[in-house]
Amino acid sequence: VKNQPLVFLAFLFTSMPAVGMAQDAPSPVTPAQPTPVVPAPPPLPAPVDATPPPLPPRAEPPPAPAPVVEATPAPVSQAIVVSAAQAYPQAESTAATGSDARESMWRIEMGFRGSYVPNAGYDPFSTNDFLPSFSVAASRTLVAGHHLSFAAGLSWDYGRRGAEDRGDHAWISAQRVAVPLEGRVHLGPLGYIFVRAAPGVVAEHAEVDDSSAAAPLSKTRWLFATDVSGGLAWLLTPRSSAPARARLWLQADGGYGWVASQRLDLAPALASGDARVVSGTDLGSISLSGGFFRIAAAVSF
Amino acid sequence: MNPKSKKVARSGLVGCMALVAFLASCGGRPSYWNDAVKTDSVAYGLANGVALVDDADHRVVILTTPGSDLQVAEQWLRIGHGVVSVTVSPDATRLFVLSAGDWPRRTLKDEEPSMTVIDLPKDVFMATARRYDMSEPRGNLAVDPLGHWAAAYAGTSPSGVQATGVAAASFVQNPNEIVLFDLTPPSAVPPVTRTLQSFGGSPQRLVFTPELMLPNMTPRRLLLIETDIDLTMLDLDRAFDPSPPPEITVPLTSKTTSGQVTTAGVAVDGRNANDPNDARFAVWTSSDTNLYTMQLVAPTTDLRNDFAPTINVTDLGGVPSDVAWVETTDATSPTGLSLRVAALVPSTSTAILVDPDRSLTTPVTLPAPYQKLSLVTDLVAGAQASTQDTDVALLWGGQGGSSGVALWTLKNSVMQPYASIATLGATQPVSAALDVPAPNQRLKVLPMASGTGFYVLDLSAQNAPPLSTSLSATLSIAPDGGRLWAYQQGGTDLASVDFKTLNPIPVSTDLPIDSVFDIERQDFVAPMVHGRALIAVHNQGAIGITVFDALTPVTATSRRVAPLLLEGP
Repeated sequence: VKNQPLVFLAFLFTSMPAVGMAQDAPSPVTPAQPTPVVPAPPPLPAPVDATPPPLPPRAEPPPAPAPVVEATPAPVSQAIVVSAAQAYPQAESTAATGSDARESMWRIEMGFRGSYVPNAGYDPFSTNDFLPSFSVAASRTLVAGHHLSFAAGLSWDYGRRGAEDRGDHAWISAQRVAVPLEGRVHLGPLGYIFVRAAPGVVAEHAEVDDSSAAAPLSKTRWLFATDVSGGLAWLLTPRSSAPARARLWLQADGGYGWVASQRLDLAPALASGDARVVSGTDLGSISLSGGFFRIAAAVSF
Repeated sequence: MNPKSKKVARSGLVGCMALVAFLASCGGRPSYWNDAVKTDSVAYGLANGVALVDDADHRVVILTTPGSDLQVAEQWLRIGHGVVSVTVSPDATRLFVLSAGDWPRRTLKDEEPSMTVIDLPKDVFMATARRYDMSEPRGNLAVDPLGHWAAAYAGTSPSGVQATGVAAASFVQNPNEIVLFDLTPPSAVPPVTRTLQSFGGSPQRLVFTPELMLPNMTPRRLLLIETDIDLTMLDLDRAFDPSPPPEITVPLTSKTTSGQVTTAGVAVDGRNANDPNDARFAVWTSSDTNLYTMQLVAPTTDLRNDFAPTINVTDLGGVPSDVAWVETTDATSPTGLSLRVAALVPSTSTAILVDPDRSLTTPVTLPAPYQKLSLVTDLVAGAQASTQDTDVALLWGGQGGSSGVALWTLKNSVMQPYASIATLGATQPVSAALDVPAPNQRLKVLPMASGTGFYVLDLSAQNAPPLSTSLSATLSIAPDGGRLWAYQQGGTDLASVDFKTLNPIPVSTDLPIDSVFDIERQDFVAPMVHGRALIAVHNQGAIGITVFDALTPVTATSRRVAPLLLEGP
């Protein structure tokens, strides 16, 4: 039972590459869009025309690509490309690459996660209910279409908090390894909004230093955990859909993180060979569940 | 980046920072975690366990040792806020905690002053608590040795734990007000508050008498209240009546100075609960050479009480240091015995035998200026005392030289006083005579005044073999009478001395020892055969202990348990 989180984590690791490879092949736009057919931007409408056009001039679809589209079997992704170009004609059409790199991408993010832990078991380790963490994640878009995409990845959070308890120093650390599964709604050059579910495991380590104990009292345990959150990824630069070596993002999300509870029955960590008979202390049960937010910077390519 | 995007970015950044600041400031934790554990006067020994008073968390943690693996079980019980004093009952089955409450009370939620009684009966390893509210904080408590009553009073200085941050005294106090608690009902009944009539003094010590036979052949128990200058008698059996009788106060006036004197102690006779002639007290002072003897007789004028005291004053020729009621042989008495008051007068190295009815005195010269005496009549074997029913007193506390201890047999004291005193093997002055519980009640442990050892006095064999210690030792006698523990407070060395063999068994701890308690161990395998555990308390951090098997102490098998007061509130 104790190793269940580790087994679960191993399963996730081993299954991730397979999922990634399976989703790489059907990328719908890349093979269907030949490079030479990139149309020139349409001319702006004459200012003397007093009659308003049915669509804003900058959103008017370019006439040139139409025959090309007809000559080529129309994949589903083509409508997406055209639609994006209609909305933001100042951006280059993705017809050049056959894919919008702002939607289908590898992505690495790094940032700060703040958790609100109201559980009383957290009181020995913090004077308030705040748990700060460093957060890093990598993800890959697996499916994209209709301004929507789905990505999966791997994330690692590390947080540590300490406090003085009745004259003793106590601290707790939490390492969270999770598989974020993210659904995105893309907003063109603005970025995208997303919802994320991240099942995983948390390694909690609690420690208390007391001068009456034979050694520092500690306990480490792996626990199941899951995050559910939603947020916004804002594209900093470059904002066009043209191919770029990398794109920079700022993002923020907030949600709720659930972590299984455990009993904090701390025991002195004696050196091997130390035959003393010792007992520790019981700080009650703790759960690091609670609301959280995360702000991060990301790079995609 | 266009201006609109910059604005959005700036707003987002500010929003995120505000969110971080909000989350970082929200929440909190009970103030308990921020209050350091008090490490003075925290541990108290009971028969079956050790009580740790955790004033910051308003609780008492009871430690017991179930099983043979020296594991420790903890039980929490709530007590009042602002602990003022802690007292253990003489039989070590009750803990009394006086609390000042949230004083002064500023809101209705603030706690009132209270007394919490924690019961941990013998052979029962589950403690219970009951609380009695009081109107004013009281700093001192007197506990009835028979377990029926308790009395809280202001006194001069609280004993035991001092309250921190508690204004234990209100702006106006009534030092002559005492609070009486009836402990016999299983649930707390409201206490009775009495204001004693005063002639300028205030209560300093309270003494619960044994059952006394009054002149009207009614058995009663009295509370004797020593104030600075007088003695007050209060009928306990009628104290909870709707209209209780008033207390009786006897002012003590110095014959030599015609001023008021300070009481130093009171001795109660009461050896025969069926004899109204034994309802007597003797009071002595710290600055006066007089001895005040009183007998309860039938009242003649004020009939509200069933008794009235008659008073005799006897000049002892020096300030007495200790007094006891004794029975001596008396050929002129029909029974062959006479009741006397024995008073030690160190300034003249004498003991004075006082006839309480006639105020006649018989001086007995002592080999040393002994300061203390206690009756050991039942503990001395042979015809020396028991067959004659005369008393035997143990004398100790002499200054200098080879005063040691002496047995004073009152058999021939009246006629041949010099022949009745025998010095025992203890050659060095001793500072105390510690009782040993049954089955070794014939033994007395006598710490040397020099602090370099102690004697184990066998009253049957009348020898006192010495045991020396390399450092000044603190002694603790096991409640089962099987052994004593010697340790240096603040040191790590500890030794068990079995009273059968007087063989010291040394053990040690990793941390300095502040106190030790030999307690009964709960054994689930053989419930009727209780083992014993020795708990050495280390007042460090959040309090730690080392647990030994008290019957076969071995350092290697001892168990360290810590920290004990870090659990959540």
